[in-house]
Amino acid sequence: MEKELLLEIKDLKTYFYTDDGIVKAVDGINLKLHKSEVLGLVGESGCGKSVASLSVLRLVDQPGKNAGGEILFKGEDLLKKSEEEMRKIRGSEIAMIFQEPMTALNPVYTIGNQVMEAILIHQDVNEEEAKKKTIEMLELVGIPDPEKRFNEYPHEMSGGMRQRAMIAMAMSCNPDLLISDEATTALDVTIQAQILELMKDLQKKIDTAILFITHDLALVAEMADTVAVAYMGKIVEYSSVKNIFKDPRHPYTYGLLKSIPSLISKKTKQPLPAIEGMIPSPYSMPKGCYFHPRCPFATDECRKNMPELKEIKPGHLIRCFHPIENDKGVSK
Amino acid sequence: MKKSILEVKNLKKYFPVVGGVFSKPIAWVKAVDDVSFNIFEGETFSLVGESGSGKTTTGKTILKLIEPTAGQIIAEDIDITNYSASEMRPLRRDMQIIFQDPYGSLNPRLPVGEIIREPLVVHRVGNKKEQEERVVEAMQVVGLRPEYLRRYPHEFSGGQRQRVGIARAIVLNPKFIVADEPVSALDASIQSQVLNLLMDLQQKLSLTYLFVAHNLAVVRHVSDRIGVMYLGKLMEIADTMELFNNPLHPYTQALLSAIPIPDPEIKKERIILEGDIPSPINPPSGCVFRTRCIYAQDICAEKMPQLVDIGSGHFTACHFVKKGGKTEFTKKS
Repeated sequence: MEKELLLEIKDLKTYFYTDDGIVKAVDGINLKLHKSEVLGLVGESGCGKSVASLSVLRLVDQPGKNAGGEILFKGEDLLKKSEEEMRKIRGSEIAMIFQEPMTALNPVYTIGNQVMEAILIHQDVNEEEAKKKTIEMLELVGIPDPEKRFNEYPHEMSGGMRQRAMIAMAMSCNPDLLISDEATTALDVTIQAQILELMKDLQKKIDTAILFITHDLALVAEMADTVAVAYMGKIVEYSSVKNIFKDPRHPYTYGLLKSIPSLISKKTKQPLPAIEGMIPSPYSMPKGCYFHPRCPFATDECRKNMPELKEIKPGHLIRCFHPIENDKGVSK
Repeated sequence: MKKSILEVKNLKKYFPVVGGVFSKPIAWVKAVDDVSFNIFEGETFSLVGESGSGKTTTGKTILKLIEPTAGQIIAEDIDITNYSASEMRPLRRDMQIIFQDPYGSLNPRLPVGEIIREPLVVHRVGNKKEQEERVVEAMQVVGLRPEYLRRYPHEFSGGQRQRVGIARAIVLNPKFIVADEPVSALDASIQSQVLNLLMDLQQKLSLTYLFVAHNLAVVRHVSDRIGVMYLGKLMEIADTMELFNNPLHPYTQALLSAIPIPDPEIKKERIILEGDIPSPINPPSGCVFRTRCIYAQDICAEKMPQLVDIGSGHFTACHFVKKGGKTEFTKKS
């Protein structure tokens, strides 16, 4: 059954106009996110995943600018909204959690006040009700002793607790869309497990769609329903999470999956299949497919033309002239 | 018989927390608290743990980059615990370090050729011409083009900078290298390149590594043996496969179960630990893990369990793990 479409990004371009040239951080991205779906957006540094998410909220700073495309949220183009209208959407209909909760929280206000601020701005409640709701939210995200914690400052909390407070703030207005940008990257693995569990749990309870941005393919496997793999500002592969891991077709996705050290294989201390070379400089992008200098299958065609993102089987899109023919999947 | 290249006995490192008008120590951070282990020649021994577990401090204390508070460090039968900086210098040729941050650990004002040559200058190895030859050789070994010799660190990517750091570490032909989170700042596709390089160098140059890392999948891939640290203490030591197949300490079990698996079809039972890591300034009495342990009993608050060999080199520090690996866990009521 096809779910209701919540967010559709069409050919979005966000460019940075620097003194040294134009950096095409987001270079024509197409994405679809349905109601209550979790879309994993993965890629390495410089692939444009964070800029894409900031573009959705229209929070890209100078010298970055939108250079085309549409961001349809519930059918309306966010790029055409006024600043005033955007302010109403941010925090209520679309919320975001960031990688570093210490820098995303204001150090001079208490946790309680910061969560309450979001509720007071977006909901028609008085201060007393907002405080009650805040304490409920803090409890919901598993912060022990929420009445006391309400009056604590961010520096008095651990990284995991701060990220919980961020989540409480983001979820306080029951957003339709939650953008999570590397939300667990700064956390230790046992705390990461707690936070992921919490996000899954809340996602079910509140029925929020999540745009889950990460560099870690393992987290995508845990969290996402569908996955988009980005490389140098473009989506190179898009499919269901199962397909991406069982049947990756783009050489970049394939290489990334292969290069992760396995947790099962008995062949340790062996060379890992690595992707050779490194990402190109954004100021001098290669001609043709951006991945061709590192791709073992590149041909003259790849060096000349940029392939289109095409559907190769229902629900599986890739941007490649020479997709990997691989029915066995990546053996782990 | 495996030869022990390094032996650490009851190592402690406490950092003072100063306060008051006279900046007197008012408390101590027990970063490393009574840690003992061996590293055998030619192996990769890894220390894993979360932030604040003391793994990095242990690595740096072994190299005497940090002075130990108590305990012994024995490098190839020589007790170096109380060696002065000048006594250490000749030994440093054999003991090198690779740092986590390829940005912060290279002098931005020196061309990479000079950065890599510096250890040779410090140790007065060869004349300038010979030194330059060795620099070129080291650069080739780590996969950097020698013509980049005169470039500065900012002209390189993170992965290449880490290669510069590795070249600097191997240029003296050391026996032992502490690799402190050498790949955690790198992207996935670059991470595997650098791991391959480290494993390759170990073969070629018969290196022994102390690998300090938090990424368990990486550690599993490169290590022969692993020590698991928590709040300044070693909880478990075992061969890599033994540790992953048969973790005995409740902390190791939880830690391993928390690793995200890159396969959407595997849904595993996860042990979710409650709460946060306690402060190392005021660690819990008895077993430091007891506040988060699902099996904790009264005895755990009273007595710190010793790290004991429960058979064939598998060490654990838990009251309820017995000889032969038999566990007597009962859930907290």
